[in-house]
Amino acid sequence: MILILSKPDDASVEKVMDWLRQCDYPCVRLDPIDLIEQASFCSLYPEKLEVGQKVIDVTQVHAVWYRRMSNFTDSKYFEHNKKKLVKQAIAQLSQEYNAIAEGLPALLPQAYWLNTPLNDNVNKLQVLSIARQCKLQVPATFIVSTRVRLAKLLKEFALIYKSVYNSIFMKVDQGFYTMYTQEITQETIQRLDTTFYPSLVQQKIEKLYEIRSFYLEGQFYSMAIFSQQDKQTQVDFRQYNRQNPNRFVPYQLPSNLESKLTQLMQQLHLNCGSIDLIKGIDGQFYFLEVNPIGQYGMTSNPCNYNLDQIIAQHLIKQDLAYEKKAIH
Amino acid sequence: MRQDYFVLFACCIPVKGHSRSTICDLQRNSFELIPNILFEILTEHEGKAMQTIFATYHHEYNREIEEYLDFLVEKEYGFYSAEPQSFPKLDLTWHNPFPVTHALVDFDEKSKHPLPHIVKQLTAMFCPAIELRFFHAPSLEVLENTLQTFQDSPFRSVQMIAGYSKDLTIAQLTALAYQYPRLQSLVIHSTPSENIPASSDISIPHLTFIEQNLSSEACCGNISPRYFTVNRQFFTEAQTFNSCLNRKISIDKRGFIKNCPSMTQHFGHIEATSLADVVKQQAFQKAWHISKDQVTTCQDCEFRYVCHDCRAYVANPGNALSKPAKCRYNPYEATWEAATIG
Repeated sequence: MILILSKPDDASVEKVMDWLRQCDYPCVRLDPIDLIEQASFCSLYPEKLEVGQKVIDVTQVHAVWYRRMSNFTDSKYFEHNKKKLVKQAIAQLSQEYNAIAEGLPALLPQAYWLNTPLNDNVNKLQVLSIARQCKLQVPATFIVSTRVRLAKLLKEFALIYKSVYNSIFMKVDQGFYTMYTQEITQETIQRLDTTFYPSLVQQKIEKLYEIRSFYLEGQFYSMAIFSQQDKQTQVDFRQYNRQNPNRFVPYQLPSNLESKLTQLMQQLHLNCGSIDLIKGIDGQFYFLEVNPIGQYGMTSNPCNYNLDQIIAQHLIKQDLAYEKKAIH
Repeated sequence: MRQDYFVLFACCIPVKGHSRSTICDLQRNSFELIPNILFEILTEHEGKAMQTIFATYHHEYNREIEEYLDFLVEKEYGFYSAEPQSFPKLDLTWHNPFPVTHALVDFDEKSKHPLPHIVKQLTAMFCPAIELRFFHAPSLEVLENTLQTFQDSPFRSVQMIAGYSKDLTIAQLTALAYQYPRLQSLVIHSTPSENIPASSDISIPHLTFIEQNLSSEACCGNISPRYFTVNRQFFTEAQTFNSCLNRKISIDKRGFIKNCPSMTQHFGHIEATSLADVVKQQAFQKAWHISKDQVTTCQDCEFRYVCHDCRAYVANPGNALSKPAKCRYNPYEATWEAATIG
């Protein structure tokens, strides 16, 4: 049986489950947040997992797909208790929840895990460093907090800045804030204070096109994004132009690049994820970052890669293989 | 100096017709008409260096070829590149997990087939979309009960067509749409022209009032550029399957199970036959596999992968593979008979 850990509104999970259903393959979906929303019970040994009325026979689960789970602050528990609790207690409870969710692999140590909460949070700086060790080209990267330094760097390179941690969408009152990748210009520098919050600054690569590649256990499903022609999307294609969308087309990475990237993913202990690259006008490929779990629909749909079915088949294959292992 | 190769974006696919061709833009949902000579350059000489293409035409048309291709670059259908091998074509296989993707159920005031019984069976097959056509004017209560049937079902889309009645107010219908978010569109047909509300009076996009009289299944099967659908799903499905009937099941107003309510052949009555059994029958699936490439005339048409087929009303009833009767396009002349344009 396949176990899918995800929040309820994950469209990719819905689609993979459609394919599992079509194969009549047993599958159960759980949002770890239910562990705090409902009466629940876990036993590490013998392994048991009960959430509300749901009893999940973990001994029958041989493959797990880990997707993003709900945050503590999405829970009803938080909603009901936030006024009663001091900030530190909320932070602690949130960490307790994360630790329980991240501990779920302990309940299923013999199962195959497609992504795991253990390797969920990759550090961008760490990843860039390992990428360099794998002989991938990476843009010059800095953490800067003074205007003087930044001005000096700008003399040497064209620059962009982006978040060190995952860029998130912050909901504040009626609006959303997000951290797009932005270019740094002389005007940007003039607007800054002499010192500012430490920020990730990178050499801006003049690009022919961007590449997003979905990686699944050694296989690459790559897509070129022609974001260059359009001013709105030049620096970050996620600033979508909906009237006249960027061209998203299938792309074939050179095999020596694929093997370097495979090496990188192995060193990061990631069996699945989305990799961002740039093909520079200098003809070189630059590695930017990897997102272990993400919405791959934006690659699968335009390129007709059919990743939902491929993932469903992969999970079935692994579930059967690990079940066989468990029997022997 | 320009780079050596011209490459079409993989989502821009040339389709050859008898007298002209199209480039179907599956990403931006549009098409461009092009001469057949350009189709030839784009397909037969695909992947060849510009110089080789020039040589093929004995360097007599270098300027014209360049102008064509520059036009395609300007319109963002393609680009010049030094590495055409990095840009594979789009795989045109159609993928869909559902044994039935679309159900159509008709009603008139005399219909007796109970919807819950039908919905239960479709639910067991995980059918994601359903269209309900009321040829008459149902009461608000009937519409509500109908939508209530879909609560807690896995349907992702419910579309309804219903006849106009002055008892159904915009406010009531809007409230209905809010209460049932699965309702993706509600079309009120046979609306007297003086009662068609201004679009500013309607606050939700999925409620439409039309004058057209849709009081029987004969209203269907129209072929017109208005109904062209240019997207990846439709285009890939149309490569091998029927662009109207594939994985569709219908129950007509008398309760007979059919590929399409307008067809005469039925596969039993809903009271006595299970939908799952019908769907499995080879005879029922036969219509699913009639692709445009098999239909006479359509197979020579540059619109064949963006146009909805119709197998119920065909030009020559003696030939199941003749073109849709309501199509007024002639691909041999590249002309439309005036009647259907508009």
